[in-house]
Amino acid sequence: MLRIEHLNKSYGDKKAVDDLSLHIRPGEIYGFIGHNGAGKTTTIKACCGLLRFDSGEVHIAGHSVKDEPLACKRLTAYLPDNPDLYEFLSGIKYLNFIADIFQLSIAKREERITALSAEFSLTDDLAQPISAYSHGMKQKLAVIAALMHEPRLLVMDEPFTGLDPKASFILKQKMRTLCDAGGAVFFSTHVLDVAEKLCDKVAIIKDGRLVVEGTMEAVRGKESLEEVFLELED
Amino acid sequence: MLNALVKVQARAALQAMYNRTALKKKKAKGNLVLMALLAVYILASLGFSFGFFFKNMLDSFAPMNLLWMYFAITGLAGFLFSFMGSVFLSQSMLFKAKDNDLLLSLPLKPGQILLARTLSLYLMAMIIQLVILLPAFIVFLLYGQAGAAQIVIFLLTLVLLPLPSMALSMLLGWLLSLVSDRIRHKNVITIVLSLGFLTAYFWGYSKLMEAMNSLVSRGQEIAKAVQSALPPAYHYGMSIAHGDLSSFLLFALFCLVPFGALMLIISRNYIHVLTNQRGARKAVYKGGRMRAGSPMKALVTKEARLFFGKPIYLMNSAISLLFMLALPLILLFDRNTLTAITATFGVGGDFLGPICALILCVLSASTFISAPSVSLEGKNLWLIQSLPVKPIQSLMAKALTHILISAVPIVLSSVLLAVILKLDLISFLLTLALPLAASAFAAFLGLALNLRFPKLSWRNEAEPVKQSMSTFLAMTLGFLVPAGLAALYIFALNHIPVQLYLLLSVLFFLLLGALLYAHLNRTADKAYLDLTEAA
Repeated sequence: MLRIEHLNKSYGDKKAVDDLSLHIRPGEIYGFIGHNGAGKTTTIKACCGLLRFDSGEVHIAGHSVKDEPLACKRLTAYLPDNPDLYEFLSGIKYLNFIADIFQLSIAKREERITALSAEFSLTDDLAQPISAYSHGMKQKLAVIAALMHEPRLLVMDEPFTGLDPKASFILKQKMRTLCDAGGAVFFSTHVLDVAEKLCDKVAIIKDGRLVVEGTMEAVRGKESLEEVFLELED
Repeated sequence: MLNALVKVQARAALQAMYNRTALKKKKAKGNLVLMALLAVYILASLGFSFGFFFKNMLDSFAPMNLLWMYFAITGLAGFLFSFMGSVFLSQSMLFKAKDNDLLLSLPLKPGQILLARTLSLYLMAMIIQLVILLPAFIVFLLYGQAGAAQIVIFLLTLVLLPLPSMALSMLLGWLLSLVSDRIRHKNVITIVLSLGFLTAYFWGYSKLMEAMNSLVSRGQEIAKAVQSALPPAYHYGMSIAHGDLSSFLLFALFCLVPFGALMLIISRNYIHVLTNQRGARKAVYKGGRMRAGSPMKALVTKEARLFFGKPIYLMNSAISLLFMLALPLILLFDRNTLTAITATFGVGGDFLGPICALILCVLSASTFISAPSVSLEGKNLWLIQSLPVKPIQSLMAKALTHILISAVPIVLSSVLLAVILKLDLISFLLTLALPLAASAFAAFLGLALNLRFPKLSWRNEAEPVKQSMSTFLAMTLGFLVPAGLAALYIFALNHIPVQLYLLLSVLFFLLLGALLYAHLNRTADKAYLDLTEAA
């Protein structure tokens, strides 16, 4: 579903991503772990077509992010670490805007918005301007917008930050449902317990380079993911 | 701590105009030189025109022994212009800045935060006043009456004079912030209040020449009235004209006491205003039938909502559109003024139609709705970049919003002009087509400039709208290009029929628009990726 091949990206003299290759297959929840500044956000942004990369290739369902960005974006939903949304719109107008961009039919958007906003307990607040939302509410709205068009690939940067326990639980369920339906999830996180319980595969990155990658069982062995991560960091 | 905060605010105020991070170093240097040259040219032009005006005034007042009145009037002009420049900024800069939460979390007193914020406002008021007061004082120096005392006192008053206009604009911004959070349609109210203020301002400005003539003919009488009714102006004038120290001290008190008192009152109330989230009654979503539209319609609607939802954006970028609507009204009620203008160009009343078309063209071309539109994406840029929307589609939506918003007053004004001036069909179509073509040019020009000079990191909308290179250049070029076309007709093309000239102008703007569109289409993908690195 997502194939990253020999990805390189530098900011001036600093190498942010160094020859990174990953392959996320349909049905996989793939955790992306690393310390602050390790290159996670840069990789994620490059995968979603937000950032130019120096060399390498990124393919989503066979489409090149470089050459066919629109085809890739139609299949993908991206959730950044800090969801800055259009604060001059109300929640419902924002969701309608996203639905128009993805050309969802009226019936489809009504069904998806009604169901998702109820699940994330945001229905009553949809008429409010986003500027009046708390950080958690904005995060929920961004999650609903991301899931609304039923993407095949969900790419998220620290998705659980700011979400309340119930919303986190629902999001985890949604991630699994998406993968069970043949989609894939690629997300970064610092919450290693979550990664350990949720991910089928995990990659640990340090200073832009891949340190270890594989199934959760293979990476952690008999230790916890936290212990493995700390050992690799040292 | 306060020192550090003041330094950060000063740096931010300077960067607000010029975003070095967005550009490569070599280009940044070139742009800095270009910007400096343009700034010097504009300031010098303004300075010369004010100087010419002040020289005539001084020639009238000096024989009447009313030198203090000369300075009182120049000081009042400085006060009014800097008030005008800061009034729309004070609310957004002092009370609506995006980094309020961050600063409130630091161990700083509210008064310190307020003081650091007022620095940017002070800088702006000071620059505006310098453009007026420096020529006034140079004219006085050339008159040969200035001694060392006058020069020293003038320099000291330069430091003090921004304070009263700042105090007034801060007071208005504070009152607006106190009430606005409790009002549901606060944007509408802000726009209506701003329009009322602008109407009053321009009405007053239109009466200025009349008032100046009256001043000269009834100098002694008015001087007495100013002395008793406006003591700060009187003492300001006396202190500079005669080097009067007691007058200077009194003037200093008039500046410092109201400003200090206001700072004290606002700083006591500052946290309350910044954190006041009571807001309007909460709207509860009740569902209802949804509507679907095309991606382009969604993008245009989003841009229009941003435009109408941000009074500072609307009032600054589209003020020319209001003047368009005023033009037929001026023709209806004060036709003589426009006829007199046509006469100064040595043409008869039958040129009123083409001149009105040119005025509409200048007003349309200097509207700069699109020029800050990319910068206004700010931290939301990731959204449009991650959605299945081509960069050129996003840019076209911004251009279309600009053109559609401009088209409403253009059509209204053209139809009214056609009725009032009894234009034939071809003249009417040209009067309509010229500003529309200029609008397309301005829309694409604004976008090209904004991609060249993006400003994505801002603390309040005033920065990309009022203090950025792209809006400054869009407005300046939007004025200069049609002005150049008019000059071309007056000096070189006056032998061709005026309708042919107007048609050629329409084609010229369409050609410029097409070239700019082709440029945007070719560079949009790369430019949007560059924006991520500039942000």
